[in-house]
Amino acid sequence: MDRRRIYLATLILAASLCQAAPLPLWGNLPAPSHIEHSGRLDSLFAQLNLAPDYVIVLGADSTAFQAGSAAFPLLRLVQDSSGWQSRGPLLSPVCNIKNIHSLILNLPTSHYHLLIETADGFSTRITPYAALFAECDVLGISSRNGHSVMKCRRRRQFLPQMKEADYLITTNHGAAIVPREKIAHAFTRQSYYFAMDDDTLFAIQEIPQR
Amino acid sequence: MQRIITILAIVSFFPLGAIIINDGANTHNFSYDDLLSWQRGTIETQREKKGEMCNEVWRGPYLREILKTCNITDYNTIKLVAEDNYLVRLSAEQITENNPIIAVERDGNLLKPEKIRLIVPGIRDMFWIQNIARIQLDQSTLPTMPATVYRAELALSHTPLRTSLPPFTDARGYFLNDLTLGIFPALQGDFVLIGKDGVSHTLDYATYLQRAVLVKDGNSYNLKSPSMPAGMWIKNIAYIQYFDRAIVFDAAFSNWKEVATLAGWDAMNATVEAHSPTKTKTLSASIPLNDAQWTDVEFISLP
Repeated sequence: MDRRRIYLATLILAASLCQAAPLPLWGNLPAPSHIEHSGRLDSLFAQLNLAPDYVIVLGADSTAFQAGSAAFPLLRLVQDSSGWQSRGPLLSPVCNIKNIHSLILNLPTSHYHLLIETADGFSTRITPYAALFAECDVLGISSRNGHSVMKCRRRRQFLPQMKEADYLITTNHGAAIVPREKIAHAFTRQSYYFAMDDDTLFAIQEIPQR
Repeated sequence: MQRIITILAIVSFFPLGAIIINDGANTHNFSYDDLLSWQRGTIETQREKKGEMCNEVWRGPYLREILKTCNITDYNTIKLVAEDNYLVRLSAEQITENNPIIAVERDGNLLKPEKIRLIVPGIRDMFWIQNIARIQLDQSTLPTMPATVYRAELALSHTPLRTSLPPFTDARGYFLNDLTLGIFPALQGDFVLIGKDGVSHTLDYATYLQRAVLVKDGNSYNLKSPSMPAGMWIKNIAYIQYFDRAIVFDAAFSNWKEVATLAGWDAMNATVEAHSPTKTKTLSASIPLNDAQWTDVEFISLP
């Protein structure tokens, strides 16, 4: 009996070791999240109470694709000992990615977008999803069964374009005036927010030169 | 001073009238003298200039021959970009049908290097760009049919009308970003923009549209951008598409069938799913857009 228990425990342990780590979700999220089990993409998002309208499936080798929500029911995420894979037999073949690094979600409401204002009054904002997308080159769009997907390759790190000037930055610890070089040095795009050193960054406003 | 030296260095390195052709892997340079040395084809055109009909005879190397020399024979579309960023796309079909030339001569007179010009008899002369700087293979492929279509006026109604649209003076309206940020997931890559008159441009957002504005003109909007030559500005903008999502300006259309025709959608069902903040309903695509049934519809989805 004891031997059977030991055998069973070993089997469970081996099976759990063979499971890939949870798949991290990045993008316009209110908080860190991940997927733990295989399943259809729409169901997996529903279980997490997330309703993204677009997703980028990013492979560890930097290959990626972007798909809209209409394609989610046709996409499966499969977890095995080699990692996470996406399978969409009815979609374009670019949707089959092995060894997925992360899923990047675009929720219609972004919680941690970055406001960028120039001295002449022009303002724009960038979401974590848009920043992650900006790190990719679009290689093309392919359609199958009425669903279009965008094939991409991640090539660079995101850094907002800024000219030589002083900037007023707003973080979760308040506002401060910093030169462009300091922002370029300390800026990072995190998985679901922007950061300056260890602070969450909300706004970069160019200070007009006198 | 350093800037002036840099500009002079660039100008001397890329002489006027020189064209760079890039096929994605290789780059070919053709000087003004190279273009003069090619065998010239002749195209006679008739167009309206300042209210008068004008007949002209243009001569220059055939674009097809130039592309062939660069081993560019298998392509769908090419982009021709002028020194001032004016961009024109020509499909392989347009090139085959119209056999355009890069004109180096007009009515028997040689054109100055900065005046060499694309002549395509089959398309409007506003697209006959001059001072061509680059010719590139166009890699962009846009789906012909969007999955969701948003309504511009309703989306803009949530933003107060701007009375200052720098760098444009005396302009009221919106930054294009006021409209696009809330609808498209990312503002990167090629966007299709179509005016009510059917003039269509496919433009890279970062290059041409980052600082674009929508200037209110009665019920319609004119799209202007400081990074677009004025000739490319779009009067009465009617339609914008990126990837599988589009925006229509209601004022330019009577119904969805008209939208489908202007945007060149493959086909359109008799009904659409209409989404308002509180509910989704099925409506006939032929119901006029000014009908009360569309009042609170933010976007439609197409099967």
